[in-house]
Amino acid sequence: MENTWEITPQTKWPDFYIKEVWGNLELLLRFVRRDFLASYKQTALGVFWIFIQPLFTALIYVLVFKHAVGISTAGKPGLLFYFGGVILWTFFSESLSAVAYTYGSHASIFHKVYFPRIIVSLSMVLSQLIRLGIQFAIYLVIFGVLLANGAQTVKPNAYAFLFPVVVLILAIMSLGIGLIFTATSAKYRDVQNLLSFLVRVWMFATPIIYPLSLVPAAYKKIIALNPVTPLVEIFRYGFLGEGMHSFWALGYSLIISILVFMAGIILFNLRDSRVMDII
Amino acid sequence: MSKPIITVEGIWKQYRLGDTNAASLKEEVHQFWKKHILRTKALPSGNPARDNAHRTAENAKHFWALKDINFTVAPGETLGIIGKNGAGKSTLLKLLSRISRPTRGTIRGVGKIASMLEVGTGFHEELTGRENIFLNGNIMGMSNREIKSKLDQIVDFSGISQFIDTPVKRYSSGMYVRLAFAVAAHLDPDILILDEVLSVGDTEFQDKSLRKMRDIATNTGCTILYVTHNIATVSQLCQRALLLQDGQIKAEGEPKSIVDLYCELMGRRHFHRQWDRLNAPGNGIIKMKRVSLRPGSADPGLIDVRTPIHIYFEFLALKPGINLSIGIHLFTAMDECIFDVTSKPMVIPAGEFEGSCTIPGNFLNDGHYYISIIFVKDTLEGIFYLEKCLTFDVADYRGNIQWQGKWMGAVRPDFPVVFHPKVRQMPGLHENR
Repeated sequence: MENTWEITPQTKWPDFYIKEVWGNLELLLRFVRRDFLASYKQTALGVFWIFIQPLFTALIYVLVFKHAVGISTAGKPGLLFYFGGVILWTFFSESLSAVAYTYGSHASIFHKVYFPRIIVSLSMVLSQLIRLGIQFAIYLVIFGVLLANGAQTVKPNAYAFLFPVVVLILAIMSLGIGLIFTATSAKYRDVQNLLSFLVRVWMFATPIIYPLSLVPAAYKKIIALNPVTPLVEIFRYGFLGEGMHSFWALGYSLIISILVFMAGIILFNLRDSRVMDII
Repeated sequence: MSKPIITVEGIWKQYRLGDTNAASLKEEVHQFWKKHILRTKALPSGNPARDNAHRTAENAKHFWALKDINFTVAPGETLGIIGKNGAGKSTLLKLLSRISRPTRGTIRGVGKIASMLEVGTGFHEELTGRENIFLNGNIMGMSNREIKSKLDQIVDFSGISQFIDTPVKRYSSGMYVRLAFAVAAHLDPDILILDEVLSVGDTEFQDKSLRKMRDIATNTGCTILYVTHNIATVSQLCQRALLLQDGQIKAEGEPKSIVDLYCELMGRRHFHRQWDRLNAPGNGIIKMKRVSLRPGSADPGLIDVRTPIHIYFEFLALKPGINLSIGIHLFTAMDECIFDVTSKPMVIPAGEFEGSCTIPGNFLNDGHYYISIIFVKDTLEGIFYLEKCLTFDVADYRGNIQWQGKWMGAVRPDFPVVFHPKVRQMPGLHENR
C-alpha cells in the first residue's frame, strides 16, 4: 500500500529527506507564514522592521566606523558598503542560529506529533531568505538613487548577477552549520553558549565593516580562508566595483558549504533518532 | 482475520537515567573511544566479581521502559491499553506515533495516524483562531485543501465563530481547548490514538471528547488505540485489551478478563481477607478473622450499578460482657463517606462471631469504593476500627440511555420519578368560571 510506514531504531542512512520535504511542502510554507505573522503582529510598522533594523545598523556603522574611527570603505559610499554587508551577514547568522535552535524552539511540538523535523530547520532558512529578499530590494533602491545622482565611485558590473549564487551558497552553509549545531546542542546546552560567541567572532573575521583590501597581508590569508569572505567580496565587487572577485574563491566557498551541509545532514540524521529522549 | 493495520515486533525501549553534565560527557567520550577507536568489546578482566560489579553499575544507569512488546491490531479494531502509571503506556504511544524511536524492534503500519487528545499542538498565541486552524491542521498532517473544505465544520463545531479572527492569546482556556479539539475531531485518520490519561480540560470538555470518541469508535471504520485509566469504558468500547506491567505485556485478550486482572493488580479489588491468629488485626477485645465481599450477580467478578453486594465478616471477642455494636462505613475513592450503617447493640459473651450486611443493587453510583468496619462499645466508644478492609469497583450500566456523560451523584438509587398528563380533579371548576 502507498502510505505504509515503518518505525525502526535508526533512521535510514544516508537520508537526505527529499521525499519528506516534498511531501510536507505545505507545512514548510505554513511555518514560514507563521514566522512572519507572529513576528510583526501588534506592531505599527509591521514588515518595515525587516529593513529598518539593518538600515539603521548600517547608518550607525557609517557614523562609528567610517567617520569616528576612520575605517576606509575603499572609496565607496559608506551606507551602501555597510548595508550590503549587514544584510548578507544578518541572513547568514540569523538563519544559522535559528536552525541551530530547531529542537529547542520546537520541543513542545516535537514531543507531541511527528513530522520530519528538518522541515522546521528549512522553514527557518526560508523565512530568513524572504527577509533578505526584502532587504535586498531596499538595497537596490538606495543603489539606484545613488547611481542616478551621479555617484562616480559606484561601478556595477556583470558580477552583480552572481547575487543569487552567493545567497544560495550562504543558505546552504548556514543550514549545514546550523544542523551540525542542532545535532550537538540538543544534548549539551554548552554548545548554544558557544554558538552565540562564535557567530560574533566570525563576523569580525568577515569583511563586513571593512574591505578585504584593507587587511594587512599577514592576516589576509586567514580572513580569506573564511568561506563567507569570498561571498561578501564578490557581492561588493558586483555592485560597487571593489572587492576580491576570484571564481576559485567562490568555488572554495561552494565546496565548503556542500561539505558542511553533508556533515550537518548526517549528524542531524544520527541525532534525530535519539533526540526526543534527551530534549 | 484480515491483514493487521499495525504490527509491533519485538519492541524494546531504553532510557538513560541521570543528569546530562560533564560526567556524562566524559562517559560518552570514553564509550566512543572504546567502541570506535580501540574497537574493543569490554573484555573480561579475569576477575568475575569485578566484571559483574561493572555490569551492574552500567545497568543501573539505564532503564528499560518497554521489554519485548509484540502485538498486532486489525483494521477497524478498538484496542484498549491499560496499566498502572509507569507501566510503559505513554512510552508505547510515543513509539507508535513516531515521536520517539524504539531501541530495538520494528513497528509497521498502514495509513495516517493521529492522536485525538493531543489538542492544540503548535498553536501560536499571536495568531488568530483561523490561522491556528491551518497551522495546527498542517502540523497534524492535513493538507490545505482538506482544511479549507472542513473549515466551516471546524469553526461550527468549536462554537466560537465570533472570535475566529482574534488572536488565540485573548481566548479563555475553554475557548482555546474547544478550538483545538474541533481541529482534532476533523482529522479523519486511519488510526486514532486516544490517551485519556493525558486528557485535559473541564468535565464538560472531557464529556464532549468522550462522546465524540465513542461516535468515531462505533460509526467509522477507524482503528483505535485507547489508553485509559477509566477501566469501565474499556470493557464497553474495546474489542480487545492489553495489560502492560513493568514494560511488558502482562496479558492480552477479551477486555473484561483483562480489566479484572488489572483491578487485582492495582489493589483496586480486595474481595477477601483472612488472617491467622498471630497477625490478625485487632486488640485485646476484638480480633479479626475474616472479611469478604461477594457480588450478587451471576458473573462472580462483575459489579455494576445494578449488583447487590454482600459483605461478610468473622471475628473473635476476647472479653465477655461487652455491649457491642458494629458499623459498616462505605467511602468513595475521594474519601467521602457515603454511608455509616450500624447494627443493634448486643451484650456478648467471649467467642467467635460472624456478621453480614448487604448493599442493595441499584443504589451505588459507578466508581471505586472501600469499606471500613467499626466496633463500638456501649454505642458510644469506638474500640476497634478496621480501615479499608475491602475495596471494589462499581461499573457503569446505562441500559437504553443514550447519554454517555458521567452520571452525577454520590449514589444512584432507583426510586421512581414519575410524570404523566395532568389529571383534572375538578373539571367543572375551570369551565364554569
